[in-house]
Amino acid sequence: MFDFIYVEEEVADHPRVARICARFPDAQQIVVERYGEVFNRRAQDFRLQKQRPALILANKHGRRILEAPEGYGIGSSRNFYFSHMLNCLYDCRYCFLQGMYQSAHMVVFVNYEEFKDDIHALIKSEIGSAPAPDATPPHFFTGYDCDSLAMESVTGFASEFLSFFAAHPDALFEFRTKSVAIDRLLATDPIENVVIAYSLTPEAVGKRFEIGAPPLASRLKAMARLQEAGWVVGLRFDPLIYYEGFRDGFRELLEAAFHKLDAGLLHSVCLGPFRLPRDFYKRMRRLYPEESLLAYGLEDSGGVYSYRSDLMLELSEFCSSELMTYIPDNIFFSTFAGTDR
Amino acid sequence: MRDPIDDPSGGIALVVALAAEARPLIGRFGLRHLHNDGLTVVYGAKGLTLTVTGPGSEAAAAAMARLQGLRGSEAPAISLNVGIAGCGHLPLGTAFMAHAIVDQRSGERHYPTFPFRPPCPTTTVITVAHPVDEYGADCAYDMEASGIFEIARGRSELVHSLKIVSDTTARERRELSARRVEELVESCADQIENTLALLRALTDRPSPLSERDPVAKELLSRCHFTITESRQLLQLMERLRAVCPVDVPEAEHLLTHSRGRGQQVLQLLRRQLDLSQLRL
Repeated sequence: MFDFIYVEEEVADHPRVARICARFPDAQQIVVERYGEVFNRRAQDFRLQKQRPALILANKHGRRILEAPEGYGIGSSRNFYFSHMLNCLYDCRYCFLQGMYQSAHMVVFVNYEEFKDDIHALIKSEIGSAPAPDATPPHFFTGYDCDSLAMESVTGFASEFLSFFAAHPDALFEFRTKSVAIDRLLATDPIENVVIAYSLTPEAVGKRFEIGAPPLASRLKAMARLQEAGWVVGLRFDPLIYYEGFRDGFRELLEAAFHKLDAGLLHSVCLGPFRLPRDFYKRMRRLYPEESLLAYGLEDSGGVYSYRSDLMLELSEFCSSELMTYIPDNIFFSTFAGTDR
Repeated sequence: MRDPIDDPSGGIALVVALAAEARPLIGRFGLRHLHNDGLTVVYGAKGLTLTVTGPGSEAAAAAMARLQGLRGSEAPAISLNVGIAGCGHLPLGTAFMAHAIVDQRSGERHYPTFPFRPPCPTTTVITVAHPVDEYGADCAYDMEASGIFEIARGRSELVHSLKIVSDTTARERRELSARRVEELVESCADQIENTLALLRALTDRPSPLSERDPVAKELLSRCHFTITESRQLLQLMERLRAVCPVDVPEAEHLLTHSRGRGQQVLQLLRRQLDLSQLRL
């Protein structure tokens, strides 16, 4: 899978590094001083690198737990995210990562223990700050800069964090994924405060834009298995793409999803339109000038590229009304502007 | 034939330090003499240039900067440094690529990107100011790579160094002749050509905001557009070609319906885009 593995000097003797490198005995290991030397170099070509990314193993210094952007949440007023990994196995054409990062190489931060310490300290301070009786528990999102599960065989993230999450029932932890690598989850007793949230798009969208990701049917099958095993799952219809036939596509998606899944057991369902910060959008346009997804219907509104208002309204109204025929209002969350959930 | 230095298609820049390294490549690729300013000699043909920089990292960096000046705004899509190197852990005559380049004097490091499986062994190349007598176990030594990367890397991702082991000991290094250098490069000419083909395959993708779009070209030549409007025109054309390639209007149609006014052309194109659909 990897021809080259860059290893930060500081973690060269880390047992996790040894375990990961042992999986790729033919990879050339290159010691670097800091991962930024490789990852943050200017004038890199994300599109080229994505054809054959390298792996970078490093220590995450500084702030490891960050506040989630406004509007990002599933019912808590206290939302955080942390990234044990940067970049993703899959190559979804709409993904903001290709606009955010200079490099497509995958970075794994191996200092999991420090992440856990920081999460623990944050939970203590959040819980201990005399919350109001109706305060929501803090939520932690793990799949912001990567797919939480796709690289499990390399990172061992779920293996190493599940018991930690279970030991912190005062917080909620979300895995965000498209992966069907759920063996670790199925081998573990379900944990009440862990939500496995799947990103889903209509089949035609997945085939066209989600390069390398498991097809819709496989994801639904994985979700059904998780539900049957007692895991709490969530649905993330994000990003919603406006295309000719999106109504039929979304209807069919919902039919397929709710045929397979028990709506009554879902934790949360989110809707979100395709949107990108301006700088990310411009970088992605330069990378993929021929890509119709990035050329159609989008306009700059306050530094964010999203669909023009007539398309946005159509998407929001149609998708919300269709979805609400399947789920109760209290588990529905939307990032469409002007919605209060 | 268009001078390859002026070739706007991007092209390939081969970079060597020594005339002896250049001679086999000049023959292999049928290159002709293009430029000599007394410091930098450039050969070229068919979108490929070969620059002889002279020995040493500083000379290499200076030559690369001069080459960029000659090329103007068009950076080559591929820069490949070819040359000899001392290496204690690979057999004589082995071709290898650098996966890391370290400037011994400054400590600066470069890490070439490999969006392809390397076609040969790779190792760290240490660029030295003076030949070394002790060869490390896991690296090679040259005198130019760092200087080349310092300049070339800022403008292109596909910058690589392919070296041929010319000496495995200090004694072999001292016995090197120009003839022997030429033989070594000649012996790896196939690998050099294959590596170029590998790199070339990676550059095949659409160029953005291309003024070579025939409709845009015609509109720009027959209508008045301000600089901002020209840029908007290219962006709109690019978006239209991405979203609805079969529905891109002909220039004549746009000219007729806009009465030759640039702003009107832009409005027509925006309307066309608004009426289009994203089809999967």
